[in-house]
Amino acid sequence: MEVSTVSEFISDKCFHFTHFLVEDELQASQLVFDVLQSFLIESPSALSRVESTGFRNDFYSRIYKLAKTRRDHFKMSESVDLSGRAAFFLVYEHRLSIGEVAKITTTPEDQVLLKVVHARSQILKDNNNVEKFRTSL
Amino acid sequence: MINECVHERSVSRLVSRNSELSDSLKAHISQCENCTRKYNILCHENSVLKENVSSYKSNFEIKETLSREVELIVERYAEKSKRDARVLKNNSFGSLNHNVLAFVKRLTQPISLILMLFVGALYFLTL
Ligand SMILES: [Zn+2]
Repeated sequence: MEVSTVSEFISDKCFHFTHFLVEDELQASQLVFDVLQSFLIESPSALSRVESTGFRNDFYSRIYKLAKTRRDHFKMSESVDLSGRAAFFLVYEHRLSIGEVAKITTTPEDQVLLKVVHARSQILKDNNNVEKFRTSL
Repeated sequence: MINECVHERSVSRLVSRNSELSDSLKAHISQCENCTRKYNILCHENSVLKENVSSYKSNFEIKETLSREVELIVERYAEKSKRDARVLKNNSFGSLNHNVLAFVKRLTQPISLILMLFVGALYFLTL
């Protein structure tokens, strides 16, 4: 296993995904470390496949599940649909297929696209410039 | 009230997916007021989304700290695994097969054969 490949994947892609989900830098770092530790205990040999899609999706899935378990601890608003944010990020940033996202977020396939669209419009709604731009045209 | 254009849906679908627009659609957008407006709104939305998602990326400092920590965790784990493997090897009684073979091998050594002959002779003498 290339330690540098593992650390690149975790400090770049995994942190980005986790930070987007939990919106707090420190909590995101801790969550990523905890997922790595659990991976080392449960399936350390899998780390050698760090560049494979299967491994990466498994990692994202663990991150999502742990974030979901800890959402009360993060004081996340109840209105935030975590699976929607995860689905939006994975489709938008990593261009994962609906099937892959459904597996990672344990969401039925027919609901993934709806969640992506909803999360997308929620981000746009939270940004004041979008409405201003719309009306300026 | 502005009337909708039939091409708005295509523009919406393609731009929101960041897909390439065909030359004919590009030409239509430049001539149609509705589609130009839709196109500009969508491009603006895309730039807002891009900025939002990018704001969660690890900056140089965080990336450095995370990488160092990850390398430490993985190396510490690798060392522990090696240590555990060594302890297991030293404390292990080995497999049955391995132990039987080692026992037979020791029996065939000269000192074992002499001892066996000696014990045998003593046994016959006591009969
Ligand atoms: Zn048009």
